[in-house]
Amino acid sequence: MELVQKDIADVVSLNFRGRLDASTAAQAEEAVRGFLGSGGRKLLINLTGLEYISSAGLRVLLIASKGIKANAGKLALCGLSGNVKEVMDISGLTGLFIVAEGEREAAALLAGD
Amino acid sequence: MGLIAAKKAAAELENLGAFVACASAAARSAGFGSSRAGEIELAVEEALTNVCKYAGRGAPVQAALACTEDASVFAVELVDDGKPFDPTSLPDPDMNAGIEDRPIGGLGVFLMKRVCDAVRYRREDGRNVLRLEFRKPAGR
Repeated sequence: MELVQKDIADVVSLNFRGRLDASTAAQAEEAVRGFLGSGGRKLLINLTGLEYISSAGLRVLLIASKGIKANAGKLALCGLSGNVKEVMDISGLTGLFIVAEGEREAAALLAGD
Repeated sequence: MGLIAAKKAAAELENLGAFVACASAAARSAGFGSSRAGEIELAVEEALTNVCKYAGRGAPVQAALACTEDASVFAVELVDDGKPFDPTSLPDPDMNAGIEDRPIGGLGVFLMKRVCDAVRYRREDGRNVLRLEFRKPAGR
C-alpha cells in the first residue's frame, strides 16, 4: 500500500492506494491514529487508486469514524470504486459514512464549522 | 477435480500475501476476470486471517491451500491443524446497526460467505478443512 498525506486548507487528506489488507492495515491505522491523536477534526480518506480492501481495511475506516466523533470532528470518504465500493456495500458501511465522488467535493463537505 | 495450485506455510499474517497471490493466480488461470478474482482473494484472506489470529494453541499452526477446478466450479480448500473452528457457524453481524454500534471486526467471515457461491466446513483427522467454492464464468 502507498499512503499519500496532504493538507487541503484545514482538512487532512489520507490517500490509501494499492491494497488495504491484513498486512498493510497497520500502516493505515497508524496514520489515522496519528491524525486523531493530534486532535485533528477534519479528515478526508481518499480511496482513489485503492484496488483492494478486506475487513482489516474496513476496521481502519471504523476506527477513523469512531475517533473523529470522539474529537467532535468530521470524516468524509471519496474515490470508492470497483471491489472497494462493492466490499463497503456488502458490509453495509457505505451509507454510514459521508461519501463524495472526488477529493474536491469531499473537502467541500468538510469545509466550514 | 484437477489441482491447479497448492501452497503450504505457517499460518502467520506475514504469509497471507503469498497464499492470496497463489489463489489469485489460480483463479485467473481458471478463467475469472480481475473483479471476481479480487473477491476470491478476499475470501481467502478473510478465511486465513482467522486461522492466523485464532487457531493457535501455543504451538505454531500450519496451513495448506489447494486450488482445484472441474468444468463448472473453482474451489479453494484451506486446511489447518489449529483449534476446531467452523466459520460457517457464526451468526451474521447486525447490518442495521449504526456506525457507533458496529463492532470493529467481525465482518471478515461475513464477507467471505457473501462472495463465495458455497462454503463448506469439516473437521477431519484433527484438522479444519474449509472449502470455498466459486462457479466458473460461463463460456469457457
